[in-house]
Amino acid sequence: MAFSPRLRVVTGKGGVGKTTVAAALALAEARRGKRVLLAEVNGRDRAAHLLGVEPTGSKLTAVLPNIALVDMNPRDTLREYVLLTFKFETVYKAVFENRVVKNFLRLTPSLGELMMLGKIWHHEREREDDQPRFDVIVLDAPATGHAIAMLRAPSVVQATVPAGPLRENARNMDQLLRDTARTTVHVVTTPEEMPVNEAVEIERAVDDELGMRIGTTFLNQRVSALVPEIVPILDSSAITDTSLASAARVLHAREQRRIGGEQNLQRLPHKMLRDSVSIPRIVAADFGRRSLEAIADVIVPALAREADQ
Amino acid sequence: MSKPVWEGRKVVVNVGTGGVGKTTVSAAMAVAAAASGRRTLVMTIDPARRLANALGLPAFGNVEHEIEQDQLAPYGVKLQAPLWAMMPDVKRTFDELVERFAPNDEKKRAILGNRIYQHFSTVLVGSHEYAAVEKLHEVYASGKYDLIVLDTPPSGNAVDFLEAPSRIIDFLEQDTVQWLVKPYAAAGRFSLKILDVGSSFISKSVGKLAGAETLRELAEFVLGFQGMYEGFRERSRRVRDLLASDEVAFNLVSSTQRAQHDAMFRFREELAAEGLKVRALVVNRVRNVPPDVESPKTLEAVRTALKTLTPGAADQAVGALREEAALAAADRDAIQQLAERLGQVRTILLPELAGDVHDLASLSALHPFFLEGAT
Repeated sequence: MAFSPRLRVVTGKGGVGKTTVAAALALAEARRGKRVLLAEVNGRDRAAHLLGVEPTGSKLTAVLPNIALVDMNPRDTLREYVLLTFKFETVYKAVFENRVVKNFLRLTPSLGELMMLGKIWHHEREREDDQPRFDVIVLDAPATGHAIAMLRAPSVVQATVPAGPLRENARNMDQLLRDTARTTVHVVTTPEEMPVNEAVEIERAVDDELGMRIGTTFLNQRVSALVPEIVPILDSSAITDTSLASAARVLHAREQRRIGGEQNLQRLPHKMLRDSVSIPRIVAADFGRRSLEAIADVIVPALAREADQ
Repeated sequence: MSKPVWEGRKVVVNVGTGGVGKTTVSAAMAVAAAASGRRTLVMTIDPARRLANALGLPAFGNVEHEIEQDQLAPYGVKLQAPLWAMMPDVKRTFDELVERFAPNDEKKRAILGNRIYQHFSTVLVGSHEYAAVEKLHEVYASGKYDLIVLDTPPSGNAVDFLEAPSRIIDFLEQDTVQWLVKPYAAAGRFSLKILDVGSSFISKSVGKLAGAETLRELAEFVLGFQGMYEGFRERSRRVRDLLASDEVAFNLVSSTQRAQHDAMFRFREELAAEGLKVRALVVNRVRNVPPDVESPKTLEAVRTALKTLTPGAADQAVGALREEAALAAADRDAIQQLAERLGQVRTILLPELAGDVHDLASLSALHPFFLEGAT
């Protein structure tokens, strides 16, 4: 049976292309006819910029056929949540815009993360005309440390917050996150040392500690190998034709970096490497929608393969 | 030739967003300073242990760890003064503060055992920054070092670490927090007896959201800190004075990625608003390719040299050269744009190395760029 998760959590080290992959993943799912919600966390509307659509901020908006976008932040999400709980704007204003209360809420363990996960949970269950409003939610999660903290938030809240509505919500979210039929975590890494270290770290936290499912791993900006004879030939030809010297040097350095990168990738857990998709490096001055569509081309077949994993 | 970025300063603070190699830059800078005779400490607050990795060390804790001369010697670096590294632990730093300032053992135990306190470091915005500046002050006051290089926690906000201490203390101390927890504190442990209509209305609303027990824990936590504020505040004031003094230089660390450039610009403005000037912009991992690699002449020569291989091979080589040149050109443009936006800021460009930049070899390769003081 096809694996068709409801929630795809995309994370990795800062700067590896999480938002790019998350947005391309959303495009790929939409191409399969799924109704997608792409949710950023404190994203400064980067996904909107990449997709070439109007920034949405924290207001969930349909931006493309089959794709809705939202850029969540703890403050607006809390407000939404409180309004759902209390129903009265005036209560919200009187109580939750109080400076002290705002500080208190910051101090409550993992509240911000929990609120944002709560919003995801809400949209996962949301129904329209007796059908789920969204077939799949792609969560462009924060970078490694913060992402782990976010995924851990429901457990932290259950451990620290005594019984009450917060704790109840935390339990619900925990169930969604740990349901391996519904939720999967995608790690994005480039072939560099630190991103790979963090990918390993995420895998450990997600798989061992949190008991969540690790899905397809995205190896971003992977460079393909040159035909092995190229560099030696250019090197020896450079002796007679000096114009080749810098070309040989540049390609040699490129190969060195590539090989170093491949060695880094080999440190990924076997399962991550096996279920991985390589996304070639795209050099474009105007990196945007077109580049994302090219990445979606690579992702679509990978989604079809997911069923076998 | 310009002077090193640490010239005339005792503390160098490197700020930047995550993922730009701030830790590497800080470590290479510290190597350069020690190589030029400054007794140097590099400090980072980083759960991912990048600094330890970069320096080829196992994890090291709340105390400084000396990098031995012979660890760097194989890479041709001769330290003229000792070099230390330190990775303050956030929770331990707070525990030490509590131990120092708690008026008595009972209070100390109450705080250390409080559930909210135990998650304090992972929870409260700014606690990493607080720990960073707290430790900074401690090592600065020790007088052991000529130079301290501080790698600040990755942040979306340049002044987070400046404001963190006062923000945390303000929060704990302010009358209004005391007011919020008053119904719990004054009415005895588990009772919700109404003492103050306004206070209990808000308490009840918050309690409905978070659970009344949470408020009780919070009350215990806040009350636990009573009597310690003066000590905290005094230290925070001193840290603040230090950071604003002439002893400290601030550098922005960026990659060539355009996405980071708005942040650089914003950081500079935020620092300026605090009266702090950026001394240098360090751009990490700049790709550098000689301009002639994609000249028609070179590409033709490449094709000729590779004609014995499969036809695809020459295309591949040409494609790769064009790509490398395009990447380098994109970096050049990005840096130029950034420099124009930032105006009169000195720029130090660190090249992308063939290998990864997280070991002693790479730090050694990068350190001369801080010594030459190239533009």
